[in-house]
Amino acid sequence: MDVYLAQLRIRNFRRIADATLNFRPGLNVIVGPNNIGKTAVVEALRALLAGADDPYPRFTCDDIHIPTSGKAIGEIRFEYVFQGLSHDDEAEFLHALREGSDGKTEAVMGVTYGDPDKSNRLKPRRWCGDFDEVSMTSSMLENLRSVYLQPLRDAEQGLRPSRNSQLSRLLHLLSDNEGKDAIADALRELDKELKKHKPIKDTHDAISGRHSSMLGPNLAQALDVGLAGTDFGKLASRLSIIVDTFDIERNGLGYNNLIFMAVVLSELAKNADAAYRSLIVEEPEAHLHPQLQAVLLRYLSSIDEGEPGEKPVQVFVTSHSPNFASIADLDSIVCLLDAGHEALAFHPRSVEFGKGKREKLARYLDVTRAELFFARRALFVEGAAELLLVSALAKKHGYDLRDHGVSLISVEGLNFDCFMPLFGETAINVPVAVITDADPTTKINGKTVGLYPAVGDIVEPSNTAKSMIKREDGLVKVFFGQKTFEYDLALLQKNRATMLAALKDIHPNIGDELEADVIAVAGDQAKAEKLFRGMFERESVNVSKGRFAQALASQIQDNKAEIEAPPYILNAIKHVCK
Amino acid sequence: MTAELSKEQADIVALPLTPLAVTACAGSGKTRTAVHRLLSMRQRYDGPGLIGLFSFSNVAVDAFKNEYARLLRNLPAIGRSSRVEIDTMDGFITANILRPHGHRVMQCQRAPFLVEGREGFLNSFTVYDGKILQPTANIEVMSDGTGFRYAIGRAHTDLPAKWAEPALAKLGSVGAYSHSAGRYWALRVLHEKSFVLRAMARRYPHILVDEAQDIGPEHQAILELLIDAGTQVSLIGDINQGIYEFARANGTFLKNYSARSSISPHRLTVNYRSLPAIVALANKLTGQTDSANRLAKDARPACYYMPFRATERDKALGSFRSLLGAADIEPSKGVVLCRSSDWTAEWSGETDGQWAAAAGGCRPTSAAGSRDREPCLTVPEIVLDCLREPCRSRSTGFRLRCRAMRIRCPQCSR
Repeated sequence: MDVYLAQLRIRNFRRIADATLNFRPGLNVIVGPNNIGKTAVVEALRALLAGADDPYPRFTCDDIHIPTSGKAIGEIRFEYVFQGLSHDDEAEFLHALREGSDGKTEAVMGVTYGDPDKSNRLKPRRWCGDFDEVSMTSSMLENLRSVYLQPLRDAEQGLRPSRNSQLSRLLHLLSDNEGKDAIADALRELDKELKKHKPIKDTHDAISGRHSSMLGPNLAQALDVGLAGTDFGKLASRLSIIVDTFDIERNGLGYNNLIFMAVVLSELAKNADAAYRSLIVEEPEAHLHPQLQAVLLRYLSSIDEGEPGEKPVQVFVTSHSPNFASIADLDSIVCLLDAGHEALAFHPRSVEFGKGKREKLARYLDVTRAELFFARRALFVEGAAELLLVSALAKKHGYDLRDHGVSLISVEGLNFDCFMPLFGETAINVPVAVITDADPTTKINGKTVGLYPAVGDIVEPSNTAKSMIKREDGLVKVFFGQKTFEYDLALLQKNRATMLAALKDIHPNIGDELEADVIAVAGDQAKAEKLFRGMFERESVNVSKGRFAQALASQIQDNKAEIEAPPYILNAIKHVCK
Repeated sequence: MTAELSKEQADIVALPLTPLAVTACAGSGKTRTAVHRLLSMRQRYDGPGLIGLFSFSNVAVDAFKNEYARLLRNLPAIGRSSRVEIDTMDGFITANILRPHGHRVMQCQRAPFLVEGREGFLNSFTVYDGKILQPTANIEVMSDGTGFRYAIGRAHTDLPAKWAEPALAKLGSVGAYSHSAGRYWALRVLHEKSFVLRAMARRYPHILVDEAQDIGPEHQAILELLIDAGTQVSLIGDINQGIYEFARANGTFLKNYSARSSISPHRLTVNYRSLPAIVALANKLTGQTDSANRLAKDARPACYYMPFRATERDKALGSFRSLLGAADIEPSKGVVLCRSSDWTAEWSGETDGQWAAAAGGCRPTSAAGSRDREPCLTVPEIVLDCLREPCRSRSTGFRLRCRAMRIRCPQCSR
């Protein structure tokens, strides 16, 4: 393994009072909603890992964190822990070395910004080791190579031919003296060949004839028409990339960003001089279609393996695209969370999942692109039926889930225990309501049968529901009714007419039949049981819950039919809309 | 570049990158050879890490740095390498061991710092020597590489470890160390924190020590640990030029180093500085067979032996002045070399405020600082070298010194 940045601790900086971000070799995706401090993390990284092209960031007193007490004091402090050190890295970072708890060595470095000058600008101090007193050497800094790609970067600019263009640097890096000489020879040959062509000869004669007649034989200078500069350096500064036979200027911005990244990564990975290499990309989604985002992400997550002869590059990507976050490997994600007045970091990879759950969650995220990591409030439901109806029910009771920033997420047949470990007071700390079925049962003659409780009956929830309740804390709450969503809806007198109308819409015969059955029995419980079993526990083919939900939603939204949320649904909505 | 080297010097520069022991006589161009060797090693060594060149005085280090920079300036920019480190032995130990890692054994909550002994807060750090309380900062720590011994006071009384170690630890816990304790803590870091030693040896694959006769036992112990951990150490020096005997640096490391099977021994035998008569006298006294490169201008003797009474300082200086005059040397270029700083102070008139008159324009300088004044010494080949025997109990004996070369005192034959 090669040296990588394992930990970044940010203190007293902008929205962050004290946050520790853990990284792994290869790709790290830092996600979080807008304005949470993703850029602060990038700046903290750049305070140590500034590249050849961009200077170290500068901060002023305004960048010092303002605590709840209201007054910014002290220094801004970034601490970096590098792990995976080879013996040569240990030698290079000798002054920064310490022994980790696992007996392996790690290198500790820090940058402190304090001591403002008259213009409020803070002075940086770069130190290493256990105390601030030992300064970093310039050789250490040179061993930390990095390239930073800004959001909305003008990739064309970076690719345009110039003496110090990315392309030119890469060409220099990949050329040995023999190669350079060979190119210079080829250029001279070409120059010689060109000069034999008539147009060039004629041009030369025209100019130099007039020139010498103008100045006379004594003053005239020797003129030559040919390739200007046939040496390697000049060639390197003039080479440009041609895309599909077009000039790079005519290529799309998104694609140009990808080309630029390819050039940058090549230069980093081919550079064997530095002990550590990193690429910091801010919001790569800026110009990229979701499909290209996926392509880029897949590539970035593979570069820590490195190709033969190349050095691994650690990549830091910030994103506020749920798309980008959901296709990234769960282990590569660092979430920045809003903890009231300050921002905190959360690492999904540190969560302990049940066996196989992590993989299930990863597959789910890959397919659904759910915005789990960006939710400010989350309401989890079991399936499509609830997904369609909960929002409509909320509206009926005066809650607009969108206005409250509630992400309504259907777990699509996956157990809630794939999701719940991600949330809570010590994880993603947002209000979460989980709406589930109680599904109470009893045993008759050793056989498990479902119960149909009345409103107010004490219900013993299923084991699944019970295990979820165990995970409750101040933020995560589990809500269940008497039995299941449709049954609990049917328990309310007001809802049954609307439900029957919806049923008639998709199955007129069953609807008429059930309407009569429901009228024939007395009491909410009996009517609800009739209606529920008549639809979903039929002897032949059951009514599809999904189709029914669509029909019911249409009744509510299009026909303004009456509906009332069962108490547990309403409570769940209230919990996340608090 | 090597044109400025003699064959003898160039041969040493061109030797393979293995550990060397070079015995270099006075005036043999040791600095020049060492710096060229450093550059040559740097050019040939392609691996990771730094090549270290360490010496014992800041002046020597500055001279090395200037000389190395001069050599680099004459090289093409490409292929130039500055991956070398030139420092004093103590600077090397402080920067790499004590400052970043000393706290691991000293148990202090800050980067350790050096104390001279006069700092006020040291009053509360004392050690009982069996009779009285002594300043902890005065503890002298000695190591031959296998363990530690402790002494204290002017008489270097043995101090038992059970008293010395807790006292050192107490002072260490606030981050303070004296020169002597610094070496103690450095050795303990290397012994107890294997990752530091491992990284050190990797960081300095090659080390060249100049003035290697001045390597004391503790410095030797540190170098030996590095050697065992893989560093290739080359020594260059002259056991006849030791000036740190009071620090128990008696040249044995250098003397015995060349006898090791893995070490290739070499010599620099031509003195480019001194007149033949001086080299001849030095050879006679030290048993060497060095040769002089300079030619004598006339038949005038170059060495004088001139006993004098301590009370007759001015008379001795007067004789020296007349010798300088006879040799056509300006008095301001004469140097009076003294063995101790007390002696220097007295002769320079610091004690009676009359040094200019007393020394007659010559500048007294102490032996330990003599290398710091190299330019003053190169011009006059006559040096009044009457030095009091450093051992105080035998203060009646005189020792004749020719430059810093050790010569037996004809009177007390020590």
